[in-house]
This record gives sequence, C-alpha cells and structure tokens, in this order.
Amino acid sequence: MASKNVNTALAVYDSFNKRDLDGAVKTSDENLIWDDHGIGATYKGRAQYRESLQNWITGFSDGKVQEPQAIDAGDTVIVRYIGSGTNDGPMGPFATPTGRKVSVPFCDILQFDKDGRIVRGATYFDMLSMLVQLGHAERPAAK
Amino acid sequence: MKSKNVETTLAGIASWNKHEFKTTANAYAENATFIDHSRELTYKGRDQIIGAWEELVTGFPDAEATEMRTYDAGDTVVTTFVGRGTNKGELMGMPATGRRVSSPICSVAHFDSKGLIDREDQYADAFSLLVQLGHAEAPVQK
Repeated sequence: MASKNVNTALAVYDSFNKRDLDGAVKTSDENLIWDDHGIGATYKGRAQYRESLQNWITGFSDGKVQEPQAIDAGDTVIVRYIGSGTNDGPMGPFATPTGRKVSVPFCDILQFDKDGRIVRGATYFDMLSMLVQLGHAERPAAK
Repeated sequence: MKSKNVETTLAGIASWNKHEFKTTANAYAENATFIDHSRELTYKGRDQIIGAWEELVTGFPDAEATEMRTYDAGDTVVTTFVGRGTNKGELMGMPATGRRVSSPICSVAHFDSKGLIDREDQYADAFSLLVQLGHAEAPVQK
C-alpha cells in the first residue's frame, strides 16, 4: 500500500494534469523551496512554485506528466515521469512557439515534513534534450 | 544506521572519486544497464559502463562527485550529488577548454537480490554543461 507521502506526491502531478494548480500546490508548505536544475532556477514559496507550473502550461498547453512512478524513501519521495507536450506558447526566453512535440524524462525529489507537507523539492531533467527536440539547439555528436 | 545498499552506493562513489572504476563496477551486476538521460545513451554491462566513465575522465581528469545525499528506498537508492571537474581533455569530439564546471546530478540505482546494481538511471542537464564550457550560449529573450 502506498504511503501517505507517496499519495500526496502523486496527487501533485495528477492535479497538474487536470490543470488544478491550486490543488497541485495545496500540500506544499508556504515557504517551500524548489530547485529546478534543468531550468537553473530556485522557486521560493508556494506562489513561485505555482507560477513555475503555470509557465509549463503556457509553453505547452497540452503538457502532461506521463507514467509517474513514485519511489518511497520515507520522508522523501522520488517521482520519475515523462514530461510531454506540444510547444504552442512562449517558453521562457523563446517567445515564438515551435509547434513541436517534446518528450523528456524527469526526476523530482520531494521532501516532506512530519505533518506531510512538501517543504523542499528538486527537479532534474535534460534541458538540452528539450531544446534539441524544439529545434533550438543541436546535440554534440558522440564519438 | 545505513542500509547495505546505501553503504554499497557510498563505497562506489568513493572508489569512483579515486577513478578506481573496476572497483566501482564490482557494485554492478555483470549485465547491468546504465542509462544516461542527459546524453540519451544506454550502456549495457560492466565494460560499457566503465568505458563511459573513462570517456568522462578523459574530458575531466579531476572529475569528482561532491555533496552527496542518499535516499534509501530499500531495493532502490537515490543519490543526488554535484559533479565537478576541469575540462582538460577532449570531450565528445570537442577540444579542451580548460574551464571548470559543476553539474547537479540525480542517480536512481536499483539493486538485485544479491545487492548488486542491475539498473541505474542518471538525470542531469547537458545544456548547462555546454554553456559552462562555452560550447553553447544561454538563450536570451527573443
């Protein structure tokens, strides 16, 4: 049976997929700190974290978290998934949508306090893969 | 008290940091799979995995894992660390830049019933690395 923290973690992604961003952040502490290592940004507080989720939807209106898999490490839950969507809106510094579809593996680390609230998070993904799929970059040729 | 799988993970990183890759590879099953999502490459078996590490230290002879943190989930151990190194050798066909880089990395290692890693997935951002090396430019508002 999945633990309470696992259920809470998976509910975040389910809410995102349903575009219920208030629901996605309701289990986050108000002073949550989230490091996004793919984007190279740190979100301080629930409002900034919510804004980061909105930014994904702005760039990929059909953006989905696919195949989320939770790994239960007690007060930490690791969630791996495929982030996918069609770039039909502005994405960060790229104002012009490309219309291209992307599919990139992600790994998130969610840390919970004793009350089951998310107090710290981190996202790992390869921005290069995303930029290559969007046509914004080329991957160096492996030898 | 640390679990056996966490101990194995930390010992593996310690030997990796000494670039004793054959010792590190002993923590992996003979036919283990290692997926580097930042290069979209999959390595099968100890020899290929060692080859990937040797390629990395050709580019970064002082490569090391720092700021390790492990998360124990029984037969899976997740480790976050910061990879650091100085680009003193050829890397993926690109000449050495002499630049020092750092890269946050997340490793998800699954252990078999014998306590050996049978699959590891590594997540990192290659774009940040290319920017730090001067091989790519951070995008600006268009």
